[in-house]
Amino acid sequence: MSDALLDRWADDLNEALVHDLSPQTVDLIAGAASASATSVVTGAAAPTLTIAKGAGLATGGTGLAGLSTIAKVGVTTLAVMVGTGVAAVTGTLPDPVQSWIAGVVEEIGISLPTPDEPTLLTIPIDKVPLPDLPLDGDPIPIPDLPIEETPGSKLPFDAPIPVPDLTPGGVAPTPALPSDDKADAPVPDLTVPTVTLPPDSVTPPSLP
Amino acid sequence: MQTRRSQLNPEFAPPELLDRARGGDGDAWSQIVHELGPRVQGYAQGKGIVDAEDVVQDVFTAAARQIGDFDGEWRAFRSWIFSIAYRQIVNRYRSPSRHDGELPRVLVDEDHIGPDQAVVIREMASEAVAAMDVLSEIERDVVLLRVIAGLDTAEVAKAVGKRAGNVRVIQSRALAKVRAELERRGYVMEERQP
Repeated sequence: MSDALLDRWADDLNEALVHDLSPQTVDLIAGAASASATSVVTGAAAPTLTIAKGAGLATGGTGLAGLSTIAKVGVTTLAVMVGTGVAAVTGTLPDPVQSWIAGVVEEIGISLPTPDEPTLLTIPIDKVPLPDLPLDGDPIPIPDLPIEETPGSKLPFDAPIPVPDLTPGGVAPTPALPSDDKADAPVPDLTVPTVTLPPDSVTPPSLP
Repeated sequence: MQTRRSQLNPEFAPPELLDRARGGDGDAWSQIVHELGPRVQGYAQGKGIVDAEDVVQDVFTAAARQIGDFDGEWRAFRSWIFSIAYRQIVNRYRSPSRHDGELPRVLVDEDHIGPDQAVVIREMASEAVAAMDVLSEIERDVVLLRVIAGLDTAEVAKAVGKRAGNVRVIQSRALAKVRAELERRGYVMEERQP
């Protein structure tokens, strides 16, 4: 462009739109790309991570938008591990892939073996808060709430509810079919009666 | 902290870089993403895509999967990356292209210029982006690939799947429209510190 105004505009456009990516973003994207290239070369399953949003991870519309960054890391990492046949846990992935996955999950406290230092999988379950439940022997408090009848209810609360005997060998309840006054009505005989003709009643035709 | 990166680096072509990238070398991919990522992101932002980093990630992941089929030097590789970006944006993101809402954030290094100067630069940069609102989709693609990606006409033509002559016509028409829009907006050419 030899036009001074357009040259200035082009400079301003570059200034507005082109900025260095953060080192963390570069590392994450390069790691995903490296893993994809390696999986193609080795024929292993390709991880399908979606990494973006500066320091965070996004899942590209997979329904995890409401999760925290750490949760997204965990869920996404889990998907990768399943996709690679749990090879990451056993440390059998190609070295670049294994290193990258191990580095990512390290952030959420899961230790995977690296190519240089194979270790057993350790998950910090002691960090999971346990619910405060009553132990054996402790009475479970039952709240004393008043029971009030729902106004306008027409359900037969007082009528006994028959319970069928479902034990093996028990007698199954006979279903009570509705009675019908026409049940005893005579059934018409629909058989066709046999007709027998006397032999003399047929006169053979006389031929010329 | 993000920093400005307004100039292409024509000298960037480390030997064996693409061979190492084919083999999944993480350092090679870091160099590639560091060099081309900002311009892919700028192209996506110029197309009006809010989550431009998603585009960057998708582009390089796709490139990594297909790099075994790529044969060429760095310059061709750069053009190839932007052809992937073009297809990704057209097929997946369906960019709004119009900055009806928030304009891309303009980063200014205020350590080296005064705050008043920074305000001017921000306003001018935002105006520069807004001036593209008069362009059609293909005109915007051609302009961004020329200005932001630094591709020549033939490379742009290959990226967008058109003939070079057609791209030249589109570019000429687009720049005329931008120029008219800049004049209409009273785009001020004044000396600014780098």
